[in-house]
Amino acid sequence: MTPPTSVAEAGQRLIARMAERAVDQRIPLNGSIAMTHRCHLRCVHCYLGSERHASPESGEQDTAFWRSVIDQIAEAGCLNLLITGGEPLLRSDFAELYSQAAQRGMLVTVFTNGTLIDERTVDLFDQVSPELVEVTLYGATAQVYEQVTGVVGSYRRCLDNVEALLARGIRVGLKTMVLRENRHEIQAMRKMASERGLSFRIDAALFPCRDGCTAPLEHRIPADDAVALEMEDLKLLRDTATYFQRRRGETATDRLFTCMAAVTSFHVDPQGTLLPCLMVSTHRFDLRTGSFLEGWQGALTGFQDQEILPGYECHCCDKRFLCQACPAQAGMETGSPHRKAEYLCQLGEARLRAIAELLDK
Amino acid sequence: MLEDSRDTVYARRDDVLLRDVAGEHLLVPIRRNVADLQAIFALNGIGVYIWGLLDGQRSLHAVLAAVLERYDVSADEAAADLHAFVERLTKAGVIERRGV
Repeated sequence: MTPPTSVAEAGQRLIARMAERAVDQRIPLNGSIAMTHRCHLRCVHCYLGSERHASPESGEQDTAFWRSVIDQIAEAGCLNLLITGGEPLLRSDFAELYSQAAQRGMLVTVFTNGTLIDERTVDLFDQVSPELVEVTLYGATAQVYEQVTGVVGSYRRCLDNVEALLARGIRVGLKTMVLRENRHEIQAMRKMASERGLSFRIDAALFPCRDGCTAPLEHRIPADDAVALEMEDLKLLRDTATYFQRRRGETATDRLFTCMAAVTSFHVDPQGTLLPCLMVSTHRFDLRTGSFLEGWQGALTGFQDQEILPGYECHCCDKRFLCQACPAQAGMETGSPHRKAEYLCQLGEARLRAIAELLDK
Repeated sequence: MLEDSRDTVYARRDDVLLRDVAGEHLLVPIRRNVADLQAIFALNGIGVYIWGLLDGQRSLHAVLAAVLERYDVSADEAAADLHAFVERLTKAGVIERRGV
């Protein structure tokens, strides 16, 4: 007999074994659900565009629907569940649905702007602990933060609520999108996180709105500058270098998608559509018409079988391990998943240079 | 080491869930800090069997007898392992000592 081993002790071996099995058997180990795309903020860069301000009646599924979906997801083998949005706390049934997901034994992460976290939410997270509450910070000062969100008072509410979560020992992470408006405050935001002992990550890859509007792209900063800010995190730079060295030179595949979408991961949108990921809608299944497993084993199955078209230049490029590019993201930007997204490619180039400089030292 | 007698009884906490995920048997606490991977345990087949027996009714002696009946393992080894098992899970707060 072997004594029970905590997952932390078994460590990477156990996690790797689970991941390998999940790939082999196509188990939906990781998922995300967006129960709403609504948001009360007006962020200049948001890819949800006008969807943010729709009414709850515009196609969002009700509590009973989500309860059933959450049960089915857990039953299908999901361990890591992300509740995202829109702003998920705008749902009046958030507490009920969050609790249900956690009580089904899933490790739940919540993405939120943090401004709607009230005492009841803090109590909820205190009683049923999330894996992580990841709060997006839009600036280090009220002026910049609210220039991005367009809502007066949102900065103070966000920070006060983060402090309230931390006071109760709830695990919080911070992140930001790098924008023209806040680029000069990235260091200050990083400092805010480190002073509180919190993780911090930045993302430079803004995308067009889902309805095709390209307004968010106007808020991008040059890729070189974005990567310079990103790589101020030396651990990230070293980890990226290690990852790149391990993977570069891998044989290119003819498959368009090489990620885990529809292999071990999935997304469900507010209308109840099961998708391979947040950004892809070519393969979809309406969960109002059948079960999660029907969709997972049916409509989503062929997603990874898509092959590249002649002329596609990214599949054999070494930088594909650095550019964060996925064909779905490229598709949002260029109109075709088979076409290179210039800005993402520039991010890859800049990261490659940063790694080369690190290795030269 | 916990001072157990053969009549000591242990019970699974009802806020801990045994889940089969990607071929592993995981004990996931649903009210504590699940983010702490120290709090999530992986059990093997015998562990899952024992987990099912820790019902707040059976004594450790009865649990041991059930294990010996089902698995080909020496009594001394099984007793030592069973004590290590309950000690570990008690410390982690996923089972509770109930009696004697």
